[in-house]
Amino acid sequence: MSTVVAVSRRSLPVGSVGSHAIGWWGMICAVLTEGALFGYLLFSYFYFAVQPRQIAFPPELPSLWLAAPNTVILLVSSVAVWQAERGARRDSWLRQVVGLGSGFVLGVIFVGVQLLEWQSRPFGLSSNAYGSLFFTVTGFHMAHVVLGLLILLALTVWSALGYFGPRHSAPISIGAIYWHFVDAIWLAVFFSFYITPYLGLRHGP
Amino acid sequence: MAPDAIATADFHPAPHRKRVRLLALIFPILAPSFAWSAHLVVNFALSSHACYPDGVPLRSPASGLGWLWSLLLIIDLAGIIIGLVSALIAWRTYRLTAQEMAETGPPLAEIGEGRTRFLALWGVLIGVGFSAATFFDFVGLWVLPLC
Amino acid sequence: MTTTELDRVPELAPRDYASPLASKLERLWATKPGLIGWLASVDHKEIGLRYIVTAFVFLLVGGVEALIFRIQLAWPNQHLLTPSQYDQLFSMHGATMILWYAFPVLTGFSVYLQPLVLGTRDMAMPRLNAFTYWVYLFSGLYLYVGLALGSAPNAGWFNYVPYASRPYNPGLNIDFYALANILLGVSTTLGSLNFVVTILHQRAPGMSINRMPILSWGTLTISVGNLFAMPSVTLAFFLLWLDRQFGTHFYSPPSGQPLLWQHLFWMWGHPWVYVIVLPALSMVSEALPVLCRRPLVGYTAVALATVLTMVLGFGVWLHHMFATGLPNIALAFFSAVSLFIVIPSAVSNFAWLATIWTGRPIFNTAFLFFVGFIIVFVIGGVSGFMTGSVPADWQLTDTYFVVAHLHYVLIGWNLFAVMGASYFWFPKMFGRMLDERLGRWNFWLMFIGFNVGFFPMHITGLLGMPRRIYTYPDGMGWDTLNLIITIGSYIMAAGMLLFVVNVFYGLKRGVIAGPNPWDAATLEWSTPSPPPPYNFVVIPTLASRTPLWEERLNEGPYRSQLSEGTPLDHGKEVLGTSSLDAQPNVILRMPEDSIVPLLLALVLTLLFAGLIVKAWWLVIACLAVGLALQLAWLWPRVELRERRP
Repeated sequence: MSTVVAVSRRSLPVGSVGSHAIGWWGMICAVLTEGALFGYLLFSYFYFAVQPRQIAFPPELPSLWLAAPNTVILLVSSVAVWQAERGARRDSWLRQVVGLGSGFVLGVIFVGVQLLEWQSRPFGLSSNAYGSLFFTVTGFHMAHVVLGLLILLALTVWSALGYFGPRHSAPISIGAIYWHFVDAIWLAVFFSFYITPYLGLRHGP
Repeated sequence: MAPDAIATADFHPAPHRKRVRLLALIFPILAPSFAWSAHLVVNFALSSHACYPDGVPLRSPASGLGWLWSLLLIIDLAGIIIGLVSALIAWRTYRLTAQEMAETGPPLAEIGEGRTRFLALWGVLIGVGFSAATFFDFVGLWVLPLC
Repeated sequence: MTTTELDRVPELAPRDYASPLASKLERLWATKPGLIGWLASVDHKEIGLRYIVTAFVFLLVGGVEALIFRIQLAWPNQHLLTPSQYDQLFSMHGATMILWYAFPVLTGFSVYLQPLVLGTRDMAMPRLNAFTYWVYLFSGLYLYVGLALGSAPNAGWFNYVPYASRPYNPGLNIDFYALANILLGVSTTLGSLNFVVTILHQRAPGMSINRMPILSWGTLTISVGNLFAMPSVTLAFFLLWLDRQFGTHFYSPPSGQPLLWQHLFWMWGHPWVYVIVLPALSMVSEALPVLCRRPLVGYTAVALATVLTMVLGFGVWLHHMFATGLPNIALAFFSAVSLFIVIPSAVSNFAWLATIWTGRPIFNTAFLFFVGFIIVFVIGGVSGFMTGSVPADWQLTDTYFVVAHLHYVLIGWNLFAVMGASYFWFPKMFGRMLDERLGRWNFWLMFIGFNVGFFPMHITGLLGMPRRIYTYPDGMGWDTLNLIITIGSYIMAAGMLLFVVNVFYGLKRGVIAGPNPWDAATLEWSTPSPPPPYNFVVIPTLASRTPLWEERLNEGPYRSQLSEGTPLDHGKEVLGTSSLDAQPNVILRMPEDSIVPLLLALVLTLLFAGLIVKAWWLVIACLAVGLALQLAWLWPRVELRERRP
């Protein structure tokens, strides 16, 4: 007695659909490997931070005047992008475009403030080890923000062209994963470079 | 060669999947490996920092870090316990699903049939395995000098 | 077919590779004729073969490099090569073999075989697949351009600082190595991502996770591993390049940390060792049982052992750094894992032995290679166990004992398995068999040459011969052994040459293979040899791990459905299935052939060329063009249902 198994005869969606889309899976994997990259970057930072004979760390605590509000700006941009994603699912052209567009603008503001922050630092990339770490790690993050901004810009244009709707929201969801990831990584970078010195991890010569 | 029957219903490789929650399958597979990785990295970082704070390695942990040995011990114990608890959870899952696809004949270790019990068995082995791996470090703490 | 079709019940059709349906699929999936068509192909079988051929070319080149410096080392006080030439040659040998041969050849087999064993029609991201191949090829060329300019890497494949820092190594040698590695890292990472998505999302219906062939377990495991390991080395090389060219202070004293290089390098480096052996091990686990006429013993345990080896492999990186002066207890942690990791390796080993013991082996060339593989697997494993112990490592590190160990591991665990796999899957790839007589000569020359060439290195190592010396004085007791080593390496090279001859002979004159010459059990053997561009005319539905052996094994009441299935012929379509149970949940649309991946790879390589000569205008131009190409690549398309019509 043997039974040959039958092929499923259910109706299946065709194409890029939500979390079944290839791009969605690809983006999850990309986020994992990029997350690992920042893991190794922050490992390098802490590796230096716990070295006892560290001559390079700046004596004063890092200023939060620019970085803290900037963090809030980036988080708000994530909310905007999340709204755009909901807009696409509910077939609202306006919410899509406004959400993505304001996410983009807030991201640009973040980059601008971050450039000011870079400029306010008394050291440079090649001044000492702390400078190398600070500019490399935040630079890596900036590069990811810029890439995220390009993605948001493309998505805004495509949304404005009316490409997306309830059954065609996968590209927005995929881009949104990346943007949320960039924000989450900033929290880790911010915590490492700005908060841990206040918690007693070394600073000063 | 002609089959005797064609299955009409959707055939499913894990008929017992609804007997257990997915979390009870996934947790024992992931938690012990994370616990083991975390214990290794944290123990390494703590002991290195305490024993080699400056240019010269010390013979015993730097002053004020005498509690380090106990901390390492606690971390190891936590790792072992997470592994064993995971193995227990997985064992319970396995008991509930042990007969899944048993009609295929050869034992599970050989054929791997029955997706739910397959993952449950993995959970048991992973839990026990990582507990054993952590146990090596636990023993090391007693027989080796810290620095 | 309508462009607005958003849902569909999959039709059913009989399996017939001569039907109108088959010709329709052929038209949809075939690579277009002509040079442009060839360059634009996204067929995983095309790309897989390109990977394999390219990797074998790198193997031959790396082998010739070794043969040259083996002449230098055959006798004491030789001066065929200057110290600087010797440094470049052995560094190129190591880099070529470990980075541009060992992994890409396995990637090639995986790219070719995975969609076939999983019962689907292509990789999840076909254009990305083409892109990763081109980037791999160009990264290798990039490295060899360095050699041609006399600026090949010269600090060994693991490239320790401070020797690799600018004050000690002012030429462009290390910069070529660093940038080529970053380029290769892009290819490896994206390739791994593609495998993860393919294996988790495109298995044939019914191929639940516990029915996946060991071959797929190997690829899935190392691909996930790569996602976490690759950034480490890419970052390490990037920081080194910044140190060398932009005056940062990561590795260079006084405020830099030379040991940071070793940490970052080996956090990738040891997982990488498993990355370049686990898929080879899984090929043995897949093919050896077929030649023993029975299923693999202990499938559940072997699959788990594969995964656990990878996980534990992330926790042993410090055993490359035992001699760097770290605290005892830290060494003990990592030594313990290094010894513990023997357990999962032994699980696979005993599973193979039990499979041979309880099976009825066919003693052909592939089988010989697999048995040879098991023998050197054990020797390499035991010498690894020895160096995993801290006191033994302090004695043996940086001697030829380590060279012997790593060659037993990499040649034994990788090359012998790859050779066996080549004999095993060549008939599937080309529809013709490789010659058995030549094959036996091939095996015995390689096996004897390998052991004659590498076993004595254990002894020279124990006698204290340091690795990486360009020559040595006589009277140290190393002379005869080194001559034997050189002779062995040439015997092995002769064996390798026979393989090349056999391949060309097989392509022209080989016996026609038919769909399933080994009477094997898995899905790839249910297609014609070589498989048509669309792989499966109808998508099979699985009820077991060995669909072609079900009647014979008679395990349980369920039978796979291979003679009928869904044709998915409304365009380039494959089935998307759930990760655990492989239940169909979507019909995925695949992109057409495209030249964009090649163009993007070229632009990326040009960008890296701009980086090495610091031609910033070129870098910026490449960035702009690259972004434009990506925009074209990703522009939402109606055919892929990415946007509204």
